[in-house]
Amino acid sequence: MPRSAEHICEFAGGLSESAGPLQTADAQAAAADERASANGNGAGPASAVAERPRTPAEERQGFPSISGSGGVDEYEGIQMQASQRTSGLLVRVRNMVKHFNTSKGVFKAVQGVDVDIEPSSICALLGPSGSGKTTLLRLIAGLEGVTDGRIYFDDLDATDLAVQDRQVGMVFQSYALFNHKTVAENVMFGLEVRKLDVDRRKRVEDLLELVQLTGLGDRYPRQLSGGQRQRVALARALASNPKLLLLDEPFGALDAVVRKQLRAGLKEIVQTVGVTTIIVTHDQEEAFDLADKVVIFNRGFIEQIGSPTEIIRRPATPFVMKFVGDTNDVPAASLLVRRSRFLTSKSRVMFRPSDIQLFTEFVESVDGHLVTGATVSERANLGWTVRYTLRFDDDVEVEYSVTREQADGRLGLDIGQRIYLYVKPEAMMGFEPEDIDSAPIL
Amino acid sequence: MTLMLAAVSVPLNSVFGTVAAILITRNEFPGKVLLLSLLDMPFSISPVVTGLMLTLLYGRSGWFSSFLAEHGFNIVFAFPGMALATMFVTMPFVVRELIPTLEQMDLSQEEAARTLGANPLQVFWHVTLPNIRWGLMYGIILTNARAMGEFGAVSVISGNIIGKTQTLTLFVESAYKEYNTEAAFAAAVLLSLLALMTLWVKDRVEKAAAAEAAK
Ligand SMILES: Nc1ncnc2c1ncn2[C@@H]1O[C@H](COP(=O)(O)OP(=O)(O)OP(=O)(O)O)[C@@H](O)[C@H]1O
Ligand SMILES: [Mg+2]
Repeated sequence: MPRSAEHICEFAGGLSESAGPLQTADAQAAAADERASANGNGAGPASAVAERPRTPAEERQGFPSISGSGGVDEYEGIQMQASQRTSGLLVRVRNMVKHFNTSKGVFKAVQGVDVDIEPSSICALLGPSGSGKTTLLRLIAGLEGVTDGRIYFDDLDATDLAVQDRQVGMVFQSYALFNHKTVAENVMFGLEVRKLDVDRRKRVEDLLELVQLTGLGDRYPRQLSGGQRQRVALARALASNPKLLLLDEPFGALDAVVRKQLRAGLKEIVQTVGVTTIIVTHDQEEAFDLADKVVIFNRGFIEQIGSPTEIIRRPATPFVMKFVGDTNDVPAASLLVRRSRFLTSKSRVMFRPSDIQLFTEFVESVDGHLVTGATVSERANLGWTVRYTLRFDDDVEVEYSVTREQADGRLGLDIGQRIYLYVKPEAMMGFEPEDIDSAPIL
Repeated sequence: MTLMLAAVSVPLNSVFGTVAAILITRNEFPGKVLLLSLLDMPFSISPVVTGLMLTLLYGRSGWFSSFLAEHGFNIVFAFPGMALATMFVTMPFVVRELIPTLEQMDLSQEEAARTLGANPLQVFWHVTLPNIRWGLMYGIILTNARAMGEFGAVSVISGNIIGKTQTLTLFVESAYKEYNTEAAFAAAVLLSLLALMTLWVKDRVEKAAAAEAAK
């Protein structure tokens, strides 16, 4: 055993776990080959087990790809501080305010935000464009000075700590790789400037393996695809074992397929390393899939904080309701709302199309809910779903979607057909138009 | 003399030019536009006037003359004066070359470096400088070319003391005037060779930059 210590085992386990989601079958086979040859070159703990080329199937089953079961105890690997698996940071943001001075006056990008991010959890910041997500992330990283409020890392008040002393890893939307440095040099940068006392080459190799880029260390960022660059940026951010990882729309510039692969890979990696993670995203699916906690932003305010399920099931505000799913939006005085006996002081009412109970035969009431008559006025073909527009007798229109199969079967509706429906009052939410506005307040 | 002038003014101007360009692009302050146009002044003022201005400031009856006399400095008709004149005339090149490069530069690379633990000096050395190095190189070459060829300002302030404060360019002129044509042409050829060398270096730099961009 060339080096010794224990932490690589966790890392190695994670490596092979993440092998699956990050790659297609072909790439996986290729990676397996690369890995086999890397091990053959005596990279690291070349135990007998590791030297045998492994099959993609073995990879998927989570065979440790670096160290065999034998050498675990003596191997030192990527250890840097006490342990590889960092206990993530507890991040607390208190009454955060950030104003920008612009030529047109003061712009309030963040207006009093309180949020706690538990150690080793993944938190997603979700919101429309310009809502202040990036600004909050940059405040936490220390790239912007706060106007008011405090940031705590565990018990340390980090508000006035310099960026370079915060020990955060950050992945930028544009990746911000150093174009004049090779991939390996990029990853090594943090180790060099922090003068960390580790075997740098080994560490870089391990990290590249973690993000499935073994063998690309000598390339320049220009020579990589977008997805590969993204992974280099991630490896670079993780290099000096940060306790907090900040990701600003890390998959923003990638196509849907690569996004999904990387997303799964990211989740594995983050859980393996155990770092607290904050991710900014536009993509709701991404946020709900990745995060333990989702923070919904609008106009520099937090609209709701909660688990993905909570946010989907119980939207706290009209904005969240509108933002996280399809909604129908009708006047509070419309026929449907009145017949549903929904009472509100607001001028408009919204509900989800999926909460519409629809009947093709006339009934007076169902389970005590009065039904309202409407006519099918439009049918839009959206691939796997079919969307109908239903017009009530007071000319209010709502949308109603069914899957293609339903549309071809029992629930197929014809234009001009008379239908009857009700919506439970519990599914409705009253609001004023300005409640759901996301245009920045100037 | 020519080489010495270049050796002094080129490095000084490169350093000051870089610092100035960074400060100018990274900060917003009142009078920024004014400062930018001031930087172009050496282009618009005749070099002869520059020389006169310096003589006026530092000359025997100039504003700083008593201070200089006290400390035993001699600027006019001596090397420091010529260096000053050359530096003034060549000042805009580096700054002007760098400002557009710096403005275009993606700041997130620097920010990334900071989050990775680099202090400001390390950020400059590892990230900013490599990003602006071609612009800087080009500015330096232009500075060098101008420093060698400068005539007007230097001729006024140097006094053209033969063998002492005479640059090649000045020598060409005086030799020519004294009908010493052979010497004039010899010096001119030497000067041209220096210019050619500068151009050659510039060419190499551009090729290297293009090669890197294609990488
Ligand atoms: N340096 C700055 N100076 C002035 N205004 C700024 C600055 N940075 C951000 N803003 C403003 O603050 C608001 C919030 O910006 P931010 O980048 O945080 O939005 P975001 O939620 O990340 O949006 P997106 O999803 O489009 O990235 C925007 O309206 C933006 O114009
Ligand atoms: Mg953003």
